[in-house]
Amino acid sequence: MNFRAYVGSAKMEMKNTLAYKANLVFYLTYVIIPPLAIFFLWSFILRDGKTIQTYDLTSMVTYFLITQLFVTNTPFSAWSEIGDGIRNGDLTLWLLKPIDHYFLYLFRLVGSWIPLWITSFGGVAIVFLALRHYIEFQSNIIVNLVTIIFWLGGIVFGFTLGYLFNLLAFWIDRSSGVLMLSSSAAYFLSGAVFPLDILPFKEIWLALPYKYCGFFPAQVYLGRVPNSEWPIEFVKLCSWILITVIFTKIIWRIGIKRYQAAGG
Amino acid sequence: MQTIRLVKSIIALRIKWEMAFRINALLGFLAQIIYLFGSILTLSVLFANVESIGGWTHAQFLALVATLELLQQINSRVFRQGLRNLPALVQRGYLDTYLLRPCWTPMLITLKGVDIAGLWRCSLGIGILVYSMQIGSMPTIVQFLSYLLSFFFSLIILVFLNACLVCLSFWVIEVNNLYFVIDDLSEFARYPDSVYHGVIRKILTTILPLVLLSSFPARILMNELYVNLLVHQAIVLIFFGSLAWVLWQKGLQHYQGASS
Repeated sequence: MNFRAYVGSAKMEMKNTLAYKANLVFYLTYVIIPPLAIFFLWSFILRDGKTIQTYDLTSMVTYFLITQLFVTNTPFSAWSEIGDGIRNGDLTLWLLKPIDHYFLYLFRLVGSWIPLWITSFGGVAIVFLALRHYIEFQSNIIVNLVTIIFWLGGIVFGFTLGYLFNLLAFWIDRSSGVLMLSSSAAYFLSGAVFPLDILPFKEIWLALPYKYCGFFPAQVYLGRVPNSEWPIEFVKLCSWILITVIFTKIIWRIGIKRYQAAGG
Repeated sequence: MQTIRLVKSIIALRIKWEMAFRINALLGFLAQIIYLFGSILTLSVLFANVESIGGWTHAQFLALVATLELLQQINSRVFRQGLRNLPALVQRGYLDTYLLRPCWTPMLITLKGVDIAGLWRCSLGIGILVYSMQIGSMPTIVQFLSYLLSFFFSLIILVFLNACLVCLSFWVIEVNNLYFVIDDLSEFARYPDSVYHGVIRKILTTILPLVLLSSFPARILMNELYVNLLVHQAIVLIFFGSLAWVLWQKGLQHYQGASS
């Protein structure tokens, strides 16, 4: 595998994102405002030491800040250009090149998102400081590192799933509806709306891999996952990614036989 | 007469467009169901633990969710797509083609992307609103009519807010995320106005009047008639309508078209 080509495309996308600096500033509103609105709600409900199951005000605010940061920065729709390319024939351009389409888009996506991730972390750091009296700070570097590793795994899983749904464009006119559906489900199932462990039927939500995109890293950060469970959960996450990638490759092979494009 | 014919033609074209992608529209609707299901489930869990939030009962909160859903659906189906195109028109210099047409340009741009066929998606919001009235108290006719008036005010305020924002594209070129700022700020409208306090509450009901969009109509529907809320909304509406008009006029003076 020629990694230089992939890294090159990632760098190119990074430059592309950085070219529109005002967009980065506006992206901050997307990352900062929802957790701020949620903060006002929870600070009202859980004032005076009230709790909801195992969550008090600080753990709830910290949970939402972390989960919202991770989930909003996870590309559940992958890249709509993938589905559009299949529909309008632009895919031919990539088929002629000696590169793997899945990895190419994974690297391109990571490249384009790196400036957004840096911006988001900077923005959320300011929110952390502003709400410092309502936050549980995690001082253990290892725990912070493990939190990030699980979230990065969640990103790869989220992207792969989005890529898979984009491939449906081989069969249907537009895959944007499917992507919207899967993104909505992913947003809810990853714990961005509510902590999964206090929802009814929590066993179902916690058995699904979406939790690695938000809920699980936040639980690690809050110190609610014992160290002994980290390796087991990591193996589970990797297995989910592997299964999804294999499924993606199968769908690609079947779909590419149906693909038709006109022109050179 | 000519303007009415123009609006009718735009609507007919949009219906044809929507029908060409029926499966896509259906999947989009399912996405909307999941999103609302998440909101309702969250409320159920919340109200299983607390009796009221800032004086808002479960039924009132549901009315708020339904109102916001209806506002967002109507805004995105009727006004959003057209307004969203303005930055691209300014950036590429294509606004000339609209300015030259013999009709009121802001209305033409706003209604260019109208998607009447997609308004069936409002059924979910209407369903939740009816349910909230069933589990809460049934409003009187005066209350319901006041709710409709308040809802109309909220919708127009939302359109004016978006218009003000997209008019900035006359000065700030290439800002794709500009339009989404209002979407992000709408997060504040998801919760009752009573959870916000002090300066933040003042800001969210005046300078950035996101909270009044959903809270005020819901309060009017579920409680007694608040004339002061309607007056407050009318003042905000006039202010943002005037601001949008000034920005549009100033923007046109600043605009340089491709054909000029």
